[in-house]
Amino acid sequence: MMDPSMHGVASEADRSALVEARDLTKVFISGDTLVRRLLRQKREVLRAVDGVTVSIERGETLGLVGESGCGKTTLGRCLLRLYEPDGGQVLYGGENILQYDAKTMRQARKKMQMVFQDPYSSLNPRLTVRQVLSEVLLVHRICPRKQVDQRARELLNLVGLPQDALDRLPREFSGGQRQRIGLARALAVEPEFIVADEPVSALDVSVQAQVTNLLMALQEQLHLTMMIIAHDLRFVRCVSDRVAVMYLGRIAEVAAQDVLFERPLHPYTRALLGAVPRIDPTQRPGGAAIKGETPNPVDLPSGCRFHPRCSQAMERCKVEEPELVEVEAGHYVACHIA
Amino acid sequence: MAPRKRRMDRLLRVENLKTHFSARGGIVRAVDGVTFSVAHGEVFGLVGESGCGKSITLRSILRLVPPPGRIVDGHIFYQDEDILTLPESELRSYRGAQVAMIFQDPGTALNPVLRVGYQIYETLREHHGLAKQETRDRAVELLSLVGMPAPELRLAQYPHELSGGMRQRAMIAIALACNPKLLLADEPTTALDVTLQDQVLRLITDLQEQLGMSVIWVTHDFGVIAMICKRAGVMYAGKLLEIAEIGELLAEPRHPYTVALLESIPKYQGRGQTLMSIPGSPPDMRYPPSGCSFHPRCQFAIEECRRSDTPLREVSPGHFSSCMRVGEIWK
Repeated sequence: MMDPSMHGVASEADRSALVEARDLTKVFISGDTLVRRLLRQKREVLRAVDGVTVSIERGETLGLVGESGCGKTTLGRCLLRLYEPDGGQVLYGGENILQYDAKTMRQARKKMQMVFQDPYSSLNPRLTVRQVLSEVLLVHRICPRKQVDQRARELLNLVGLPQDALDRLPREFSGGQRQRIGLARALAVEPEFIVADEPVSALDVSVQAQVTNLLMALQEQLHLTMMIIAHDLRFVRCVSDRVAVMYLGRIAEVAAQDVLFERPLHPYTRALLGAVPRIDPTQRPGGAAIKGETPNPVDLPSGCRFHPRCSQAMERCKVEEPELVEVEAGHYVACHIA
Repeated sequence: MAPRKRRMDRLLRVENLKTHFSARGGIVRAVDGVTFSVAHGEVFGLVGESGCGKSITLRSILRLVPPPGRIVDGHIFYQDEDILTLPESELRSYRGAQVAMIFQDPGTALNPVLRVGYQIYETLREHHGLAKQETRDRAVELLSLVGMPAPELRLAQYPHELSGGMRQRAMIAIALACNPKLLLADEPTTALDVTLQDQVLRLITDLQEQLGMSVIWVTHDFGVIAMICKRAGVMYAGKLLEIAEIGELLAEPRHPYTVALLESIPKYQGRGQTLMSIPGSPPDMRYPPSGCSFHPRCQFAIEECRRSDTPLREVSPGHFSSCMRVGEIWK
């Protein structure tokens, strides 16, 4: 059965959605240089996000997984309008934020924040933690100047950094601590919605758990709505309520995390889960390795994008692109055989 | 020093290896007294976090430590010959022909301006002096061995024309060109997506069985170690803290660091579980902690741990731990 919300018709289900992407598309065009135009060479069109419909409910964490180049970061950035999408809608609390003018958008940005992957390059090396935090607090007029210091200290407390961190520079902190500063900066505006792009993958293994725990605790404490983008499936399972799997710019499957991990339906999801090295050898699923590599996104396969690598591909898969359909309550799959 | 007991079943023995780097503000003790051995046909894993010295250990085995690093102490016996005493001229036949290495990033390990074929021929000519046609045939054979699609076509291509997975296969083909007895793998799958990682792990496992070579696999991922290794060592701050058969290491770890590291990996259980985390972060290796290097982060640390550093001791047959409290913690 199709979910009516997939067609833009308001229903019971999406009343609680805080953020929603409808048929979102983002295209990057490369090689559009004067020389190439004069030589009449073709421009390369990369459809990084190609008609994605997904919603995130208030207070939930949606995990977004996929291999490198599948468009997961682009989708995350489009939701915050850090990239200007080329088509579709981004609804935030029911309003299409793509229609906002610059001023309204700036206001809206207070509610949505991003945490970046690399804690080494996402902080200005010449600003102390106090400067980083007070800048955000003042620009967005979160509190009067007099209270900035007090608020900055509260934020440090919230992310588990010592008070003496205020006057230190990013280079004096370890990777895990820098990621905490990035979190404090994102939380400074008291956002409702956070997109975290690979928040732990740049950290040491022993430190990843600390930041993972902090993310989960903050989500609960502040009732945040989150989208967590990651390639590490173990991490995603641990932090997400629902998980969406992306492949070459489209959503392949969305389901509650236990459903997706226990009963995946899309052959790509199955292959992806099967490829994760397990520590417990008895848990290791057998089965054949997935064939080949992700094709060049500039030159997409016909029909279902996954068909050249799919062990169950049929004739139909080569010509007809499957729609994302609800096969059981809350479980959406884009596959002809599912 | 008294003559050492020779164990012929060991292809490689690393004894008390110390590789230090001189840096601003002091000496970085990247590898600080590492001892382990690898048997013929064995896949041995070295697990640890970034900066623990696992890659430098591999490079030391090839005597390719980048300056300002220097091997300052220890022995590396390869088939009972201490390669740290070999003259540079004899190292040429050791590197490549006996021991070969594959790297994390094939994008930088391959020469971007040379055709893939040339880079394989180069290795073959250097060590075998084959004729032209033979070299070509062997190169095609190698590329087929590593599962390269359309191997003949690849000879004339440059690395940038290959996909990430194909580059990794090309690099493995070059490493295997001279039938090495020992393959050193420095996180060759870390930069790859899981589906590709799975392909490369299966490939290496097949090749290892087929060619009977020994492998030292360096990684930070216990999952990878569990999949391909027979034995593994856990490294932290330049030292080996524990060595055991892989099953035993994962099921009955006997060092608090190994336990904590395993606990901090999210299990496939589902949402909401709070992960056990290790407080603090790995030490700055210019100022390593006194005593046991893990003591500042260890929940079992006592005063004695701060003062003295215990070497690896056998706690059960084939299972070594450097924790001095091992007998008290695991009664």
